[in-house]
Amino acid sequence: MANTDIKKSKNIMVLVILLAVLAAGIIIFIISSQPGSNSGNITRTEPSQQASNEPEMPEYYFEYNGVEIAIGAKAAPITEALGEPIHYFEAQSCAFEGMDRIYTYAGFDLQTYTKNDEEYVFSISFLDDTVTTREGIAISDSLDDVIEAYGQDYENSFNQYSYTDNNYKLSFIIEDNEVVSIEYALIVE
Amino acid sequence: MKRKRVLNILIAVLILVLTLAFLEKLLMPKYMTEILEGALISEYYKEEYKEHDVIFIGDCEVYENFSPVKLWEEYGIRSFIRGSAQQLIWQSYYLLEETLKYEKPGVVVFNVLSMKYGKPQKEAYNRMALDGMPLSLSKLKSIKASMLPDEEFITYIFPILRYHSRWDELSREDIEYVFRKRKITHNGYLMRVDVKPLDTVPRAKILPNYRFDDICYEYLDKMVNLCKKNNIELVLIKAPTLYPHWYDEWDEKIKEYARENNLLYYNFLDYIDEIGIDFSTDTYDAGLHLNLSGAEKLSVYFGKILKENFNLTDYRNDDEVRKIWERKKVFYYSMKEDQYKELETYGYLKSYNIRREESEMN
Repeated sequence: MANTDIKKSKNIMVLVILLAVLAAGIIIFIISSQPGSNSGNITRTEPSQQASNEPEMPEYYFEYNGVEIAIGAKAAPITEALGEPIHYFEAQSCAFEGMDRIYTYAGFDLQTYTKNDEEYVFSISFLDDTVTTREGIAISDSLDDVIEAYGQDYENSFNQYSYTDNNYKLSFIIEDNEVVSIEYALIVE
Repeated sequence: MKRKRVLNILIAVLILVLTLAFLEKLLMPKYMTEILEGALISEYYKEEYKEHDVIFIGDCEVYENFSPVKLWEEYGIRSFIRGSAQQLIWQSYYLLEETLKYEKPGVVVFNVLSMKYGKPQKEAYNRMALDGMPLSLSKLKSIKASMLPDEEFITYIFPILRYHSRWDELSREDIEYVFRKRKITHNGYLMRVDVKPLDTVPRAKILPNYRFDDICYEYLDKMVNLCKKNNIELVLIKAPTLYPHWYDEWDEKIKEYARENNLLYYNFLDYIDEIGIDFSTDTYDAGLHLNLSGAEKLSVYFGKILKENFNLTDYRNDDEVRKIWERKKVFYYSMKEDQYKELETYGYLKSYNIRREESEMN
């Protein structure tokens, strides 16, 4: 009789343990089944969440020597078509949170970011007046030239005038009514 | 019978809690062989000896660029670096607030690069700054200040809610370090002995404005007041690393702030030659961070400034303190030797930098 009691309590204890572990499993399962559950390896998150893998050609993109360069596009075919850069700089950001690469060509910098081991165009910055946008604007043009080429539908913050197309923007910085900076860039909130 | 049933329920609840706690430990990233930066914050709490003359707070520009062991060897200064990757100014503030619950240093050194960030940047960096802190009011306030719009507060309190789906990414390190992590820093300093010389630094982009966000000034003010309240000298620094670019306009603003608040501010970019930093030998990533050689040079230079300005005690003649730091030196020099051996064998730091191996293979 005593043996039966001991056996019975042991069985109950095993059952209790199993139920507790099962409950833990169910809790985890329920959490992971939540729609939009944000989880996984946070150390491998990408620098940008906005760019799609194969973006369509946006309204504003840059063209250089017949090579069309769109923000968010895969960088490899573009850098191959552009040829050897004058300078190349790579910056592994702190804790390996992505690698920024900057390719300097005559007149502009092309910056890329890495997502799922693939390089994408992050920004294009003009360095001098030897290059122009597809709409004909170059560094040292006037604000009036910019507005004539792109219209009034800009966002103005300080001395920056930006034209946005989905997740990309084309920005002009104006000083003394003169364009001092032109940049195509991914919008990162 | 009723008592037994209650006992069974209690046991079941206990096992449930223990199982969840174990799963949380198992599923949280360990940062032991990859992305070591994630393990920096928690190392402070394991430190038995929490009496420091100098506490550094800030981003990679502190934990990669200053060597507490060198500060000890040269000046007998006891220091600790409470740094984390891209640490934002509110994280630095709350980390300092929390540190002061453990100890009262004579000097706090804050690297000002994070003044450029007025908003949280990335969840991964938030996690590296926050997950390693034990639960405290400072941590809760830091979480609240740091969260991105799509993050949930509760996941910082119960990280299993964030990491539960890592089960299919578990590696050997997750098992090996589930209960006990190895020490990876030297009082918060993350050592790298490899060299990648500076070639060229990209031209600094023109910015639409060079103002720091109000929120950054708000936290800098809080930091000043916290230090004043605790009779701590606050020193502002900008580490001598060349990228990301530190604009002259920003520098002027910090100089002005330091003047107004009677603080010391050192922009070490202005003293590169005097410090003796040679970017062909003293950086491991082409000018972004210093390597051991660069960090030691900077520490020797800065230690002198600290000694001259703050009359810090030289503890090298204190037997008890010396014994503690002798142990730290053994660990420091053995890691230094190990890293040089790895460099000699593989040409890069294999065990300290697995990602680099991967990227070179791609």
